Amino acid sequence: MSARAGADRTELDYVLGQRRIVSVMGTVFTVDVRDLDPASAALDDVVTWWRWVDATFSTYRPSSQVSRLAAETLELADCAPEVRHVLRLCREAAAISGGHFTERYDGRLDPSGMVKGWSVELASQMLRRAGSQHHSISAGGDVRCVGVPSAGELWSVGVVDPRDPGRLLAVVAAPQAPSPGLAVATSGTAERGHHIIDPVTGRPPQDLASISVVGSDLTLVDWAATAAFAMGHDARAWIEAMDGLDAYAVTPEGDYWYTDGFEARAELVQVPLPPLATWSVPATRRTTAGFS
Amino acid sequence: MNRPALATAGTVLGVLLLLGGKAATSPTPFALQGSSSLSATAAGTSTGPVINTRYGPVQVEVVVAGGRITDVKALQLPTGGQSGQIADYSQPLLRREAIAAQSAGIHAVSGATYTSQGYASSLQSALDQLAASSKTQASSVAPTSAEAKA
Repeated sequence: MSARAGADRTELDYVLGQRRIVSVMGTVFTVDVRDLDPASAALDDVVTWWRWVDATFSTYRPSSQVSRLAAETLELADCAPEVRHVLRLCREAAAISGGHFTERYDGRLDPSGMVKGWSVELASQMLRRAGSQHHSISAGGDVRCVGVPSAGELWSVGVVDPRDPGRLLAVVAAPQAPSPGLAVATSGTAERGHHIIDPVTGRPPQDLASISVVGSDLTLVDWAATAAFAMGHDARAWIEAMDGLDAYAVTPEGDYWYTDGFEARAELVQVPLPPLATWSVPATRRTTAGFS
Repeated sequence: MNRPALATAGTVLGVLLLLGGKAATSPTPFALQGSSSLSATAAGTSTGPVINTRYGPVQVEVVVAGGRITDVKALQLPTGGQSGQIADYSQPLLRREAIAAQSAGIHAVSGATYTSQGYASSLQSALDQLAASSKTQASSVAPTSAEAKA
């Protein structure tokens, strides 16, 4: 057992009902597919894709292309085209976020903030090409839903309370099909402690305990959540200005805010403590309408 | 402040947990595939080793009946967080996923990622242990309550 216990690359891959559950990229990915066999070749391909992404982009594996690129033992031109593509996405994200997202903090190359969401977005495209119109992929808390779970039902994604992970704060519903579907990503300190540094200030962001960003493209939604968490309260105006995105944020004190469009996409299932007037929130946005 | 809303949240979680528990006795909960192979008769409870992660020790217990995983419990998860505000770490994602899988209303949950590598490692070891013992001496593994009910 002890030899195994020390192994860092134990890989789980199993089927639970309609779900394929795999451990990859240091977390657990789940594909809930309603119109394909979760043990089918299409799902095998998705798992293989994620394993390849992990092996290629991991900053923990010295042999990965990204590690060798960072160590300057590999030229960018010799990397897989996917590596160049992701680094291009990173630079775009850095520009759009005013530097609150970066793949190169303190000189160290780390595109991890882009890789997970992007690899899941592509996995969803792979499934669609394989004929699936109805699936939901959950990747360590980031979620991408397409289609519907069943006739007359909508995919719904619970937003976890960062201060009490057994509780949900809101339930976001996917739009009616046909639509681009739903993407939700949460960034925060809740489960890994302060693992995010705001590249602009060089310090861990203090404003928020977590922020959940909602949209339809998980590549964008995932990096936007990372950038938004670094921005803190400033993320509100930034998200408002981003086409198709909304957000729900919670502070370490349990205060919260959400963007104007969030309420239309979600149901608040739990009302946190009344917000403190520490930042500008229109009074109407603090109400708990819908539960009155 | 609207109390019914709070009650709703409590009920949702309660229902999720009930459904999660119910899964343990349903006929076809988990089917294993991949690196661990359990015989169709494998049954019992197995505890994985403590895995030390960057975030603290992780240890899981897995319950198997009829060759299928019926429950996964975290015995140890990293505790911590800023100034005691976060009493403990989340329900591990696998468990959360399992719960979500059984609930009528919620299909997935979004929260900051936790490290599951230790969790996965401990789970894998627990399964390996069970697979090994089911091949050699299945009777030595204590039957689970799920199996007893079956």
